[in-house]
Amino acid sequence: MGTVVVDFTSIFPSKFEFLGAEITPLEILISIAIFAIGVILARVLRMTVLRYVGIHLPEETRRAVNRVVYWGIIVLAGLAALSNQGVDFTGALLGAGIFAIIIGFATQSLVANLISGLFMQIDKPMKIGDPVEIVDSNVAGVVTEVTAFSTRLRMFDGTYARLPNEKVFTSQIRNFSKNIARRVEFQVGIGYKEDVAQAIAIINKTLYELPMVLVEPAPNVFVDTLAESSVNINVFAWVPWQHWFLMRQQLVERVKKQLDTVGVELPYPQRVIWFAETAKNPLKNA
Amino acid sequence: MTLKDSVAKKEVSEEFDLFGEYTIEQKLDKRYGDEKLLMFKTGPNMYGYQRFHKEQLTVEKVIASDKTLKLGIFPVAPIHTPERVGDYVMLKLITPLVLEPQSRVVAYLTMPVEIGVVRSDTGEVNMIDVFSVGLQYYAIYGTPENGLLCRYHLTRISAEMPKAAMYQEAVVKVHFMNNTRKVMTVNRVVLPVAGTNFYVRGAEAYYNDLDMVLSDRLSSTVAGVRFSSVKSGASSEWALSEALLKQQFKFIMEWGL
Repeated sequence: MGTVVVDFTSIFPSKFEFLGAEITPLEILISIAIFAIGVILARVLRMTVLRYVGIHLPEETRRAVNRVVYWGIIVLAGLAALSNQGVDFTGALLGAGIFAIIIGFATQSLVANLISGLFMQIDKPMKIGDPVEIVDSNVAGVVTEVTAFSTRLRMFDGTYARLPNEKVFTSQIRNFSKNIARRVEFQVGIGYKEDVAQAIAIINKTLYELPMVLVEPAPNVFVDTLAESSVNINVFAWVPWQHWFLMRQQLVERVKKQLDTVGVELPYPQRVIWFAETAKNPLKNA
Repeated sequence: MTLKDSVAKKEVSEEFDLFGEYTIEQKLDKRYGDEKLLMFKTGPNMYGYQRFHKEQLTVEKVIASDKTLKLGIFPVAPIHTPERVGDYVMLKLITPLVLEPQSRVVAYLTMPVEIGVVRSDTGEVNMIDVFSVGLQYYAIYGTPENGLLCRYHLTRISAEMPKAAMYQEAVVKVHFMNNTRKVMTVNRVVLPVAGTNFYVRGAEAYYNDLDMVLSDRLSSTVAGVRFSSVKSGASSEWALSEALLKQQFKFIMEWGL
């Protein structure tokens, strides 16, 4: 009986060619091992960063850091694995550079949004749950999500708005909850014949009776202008930002009610007309 | 002495409704200032709870209980009404206190209280209702950018234990310590009160003694406020309310005294 000799090298060649480099099965195994270690390392580092650093970061930043750490290590591990095979990246890098320029031009706005999103994570003009106004876009609402490319808001009328991060980042942003208190401002016009000191005292008393009108900083009630038809009194009162809308409604209503109670006139626009002595009074002659 | 004992004795005048724990057999009504509480049995496992403000119904609840209902009515931290916006209290001194360098002074202040109705028969304390007798005021300690929203209370400073407004105030004894080398003026005491409780005696309330220690930092003088290391001024006839769990704290007043 003859011996059958199987040449395994014909089935499993001792060398392969990959991207212009000759590699052995052992080198492939080493590359796979390098990549696997990279994946494990990425997971471990992601967990470590999340546990020790992530808990101190806001939600959006935590997610971004998480992705950067994980995918950054995966990419590095991939490159290390390929380098082990002796793959020459020079041509690939040149191609990738040209490709990146083309892609960069084609996706300019996309990249701008991405970069703006990253800068917003650093600048932190707002966070999820904040009521804000994106002034340049004339959009106001509560921030529901900030993704890599866009910012989403639930507008105060309940509709949904999605704004590209580039627009948000370059716009003037008014955040209504950044400070713990906001000032309610309105003006009350009283008749010229009324006692200004009494009206101011009544307004102050009305403010004093509302718990959410802060005692410090103290409210400020003062005569602003002597207008055509009325003496205009400015009312400035600090309230916790969460109560601003409610207080704005209640204060105007209560001040009007209290001034009505004591008979302080809140005049309509009016004009006093004097006739010259020599002129005839048309009303008298009528 | 337990709270139950102090309530059972009812040493304080019967004219006023007292703080304490009450068992609702059939019907019970209590009055605290303008607030009237009505608790009554409506069925085998059902109780009704109503609160009237100036005789007008403002709160109504149904409480299910498979055993006889026990409700505690205690002073609680003044941070719940009309809505919780912060955990701090600012006690603003009507007359500022001037402290000599390296000096110590013990004085009494008053602080606001709210009244909590808590269910204590379930093993854990559940707040059924909370209300204030009288007006509430709030203020910012610090700036609108970095400050704290505090319940604001104007108080006189006195060497003797003052008479606090019933159902509205508790007495607090403060050990002021000026550890600096300068004459310092104290205008306010700011402290976190969430989770802290009061001693009660009849219709009176007493807060834990406080230490306020003034010391120099790099560029400014700050005050540390904490529960006093000295044993509480509440004598044995005061009982600790079971409304909320007692917590330790230390707060640094860094935005002015």
